[in-house]
Amino acid sequence: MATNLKMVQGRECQWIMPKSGGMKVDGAIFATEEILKDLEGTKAIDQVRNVAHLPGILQASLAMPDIHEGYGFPIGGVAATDMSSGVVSPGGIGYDINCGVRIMVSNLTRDDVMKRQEELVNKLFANIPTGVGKTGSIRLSRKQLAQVLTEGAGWAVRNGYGWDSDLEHCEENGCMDGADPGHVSDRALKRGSDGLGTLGSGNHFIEVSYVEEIFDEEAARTFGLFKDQAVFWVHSGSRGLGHQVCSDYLRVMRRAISKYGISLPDRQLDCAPIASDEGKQYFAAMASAANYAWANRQILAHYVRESVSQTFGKTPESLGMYMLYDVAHNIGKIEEHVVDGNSRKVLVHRKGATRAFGPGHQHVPGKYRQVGQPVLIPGDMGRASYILRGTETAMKLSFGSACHGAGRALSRTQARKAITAGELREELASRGVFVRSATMKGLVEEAPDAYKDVSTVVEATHRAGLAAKVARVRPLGVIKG
Amino acid sequence: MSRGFLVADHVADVRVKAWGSGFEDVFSEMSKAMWFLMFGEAQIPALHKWHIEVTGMDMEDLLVAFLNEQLVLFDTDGLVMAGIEQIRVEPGQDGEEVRLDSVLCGAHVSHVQARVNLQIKAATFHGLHLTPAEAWVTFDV
Repeated sequence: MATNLKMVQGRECQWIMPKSGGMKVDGAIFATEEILKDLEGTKAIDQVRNVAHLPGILQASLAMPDIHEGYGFPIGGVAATDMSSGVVSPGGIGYDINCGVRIMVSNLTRDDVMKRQEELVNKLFANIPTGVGKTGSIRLSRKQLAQVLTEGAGWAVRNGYGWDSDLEHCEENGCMDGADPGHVSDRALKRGSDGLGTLGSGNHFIEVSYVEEIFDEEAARTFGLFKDQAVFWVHSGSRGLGHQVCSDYLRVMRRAISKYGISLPDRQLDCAPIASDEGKQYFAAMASAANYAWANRQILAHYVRESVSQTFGKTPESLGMYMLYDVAHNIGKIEEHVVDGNSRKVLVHRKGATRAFGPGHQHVPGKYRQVGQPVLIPGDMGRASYILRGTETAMKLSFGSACHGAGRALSRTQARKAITAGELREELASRGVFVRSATMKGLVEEAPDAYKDVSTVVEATHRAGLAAKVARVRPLGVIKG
Repeated sequence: MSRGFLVADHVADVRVKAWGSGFEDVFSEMSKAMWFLMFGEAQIPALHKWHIEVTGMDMEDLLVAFLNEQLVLFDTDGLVMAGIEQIRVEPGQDGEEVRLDSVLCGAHVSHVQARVNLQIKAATFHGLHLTPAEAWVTFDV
């Protein structure tokens, strides 16, 4: 198997690409044979190999089961670099810094939602700014924006958008250390001045789903999940501010690789030593953008609570709308991991990957510590999404990382040719899903068939041991940008 | 020599080829392609002019900077390009950065009778190919 890809099988669903040429470590792809076969002829494999050239990369250049072609890094790429000899690469984090997802649980059931399905989705659509160029109602002075970049979701809670307990159930408690707005450009700040509390476009969404199947009763109980329960998803990121931070620092890194004599096979991998001025400044700007994204999702979650409350005539508290968890998909984090038998701090790049810390880890909220961190994997608007839990295996094999989603199967043009907006609405209605979108074109481009089946990705993740299935949820209502 | 652009199909993102006679043509055609992606065939009135000046460590850096500056001005000031009235690319000498001076015309987005088709996050360096006759750019969307 996979001889033309020059890979050898390691554990179940793990394929090793032995170090060659300028690679500093092996490549390792977590996938089923079926997924691996689909990768043949794509640039994603080359990108795993290219990432292995990064100075100071540790253990292996990793790819999660939702691997597909990205910029520099593959989507689904994970790379940890040594804090003293390693580099930080904006391409390993991406343009939409801290694009991520959160779930709020509720005591509503599928039946409750179905009785008011259209009213609820229309209310969400009316209350939440969606689509390209849509600005929010929150206008920030430079001083306030700097506070958002420093405090993250905590700023939003402090200003009335959510509950204190929300922060305990956010990765990093919704605020990354090391943020410094002084290293965020004026352009980026300007792009961020009116984007807070907006969903954006593309694959960003708000969704109400119901728990269709539970795979792990103990973990589900610990996460507060029960069969037929309505749960609410928020998927968004750092908007124009994050895009600008990435663009700005890719240009800085282009100059840095010459300065530091770094040679790489792909310009989009440009980077700087973590300890250099350029590396420190990028990390401070990236952390600021990550905090902006956490504040954004916190505010969006508040709007969701308001919308549900208005629809059902009850307070969010009485509806039990507690945060399950919030995870980042595009981020660079300084974390402690065991490498070659020794515990050490490393910089983990996750580009389209989810942190998946296992049971007992100090950074897993106390409530979940016995079972592991919730790992939230959105699928598409017609089929399913999953809630998993982090594992010890992930800590050993993937720097505590797992997949982040399904990945596109069709280009946007192909998706538009495959189905009309009317047909899509009918198809979704036949599955019991009501959807609102800023544009019909945007809706069709995000049709379920435009995506790979997330169940395939989740199954590979589960079999590889990177995260364990807890529950599958099915969509009931979606709003898209 | 002819000039123009084409949009290539790509699973996750958008790749564009632009061609012309010299860097100025290629940069102009790539800009037109980017606005075509965002606003399609919509007629953009030329109500305002604005100046864009960018520098780069090489021509590729300059092209990406020029495109991304247009995206910034759209995001922050709502400026939508109808055309490029002037463009001049100056190669750097003796280690100097390359420079681009341009005057664009167009309108505020509120005067455009069309919705945005596609959000472009950024022009990227991924798979970037540039000669005085043509360029390939991947846009993150």
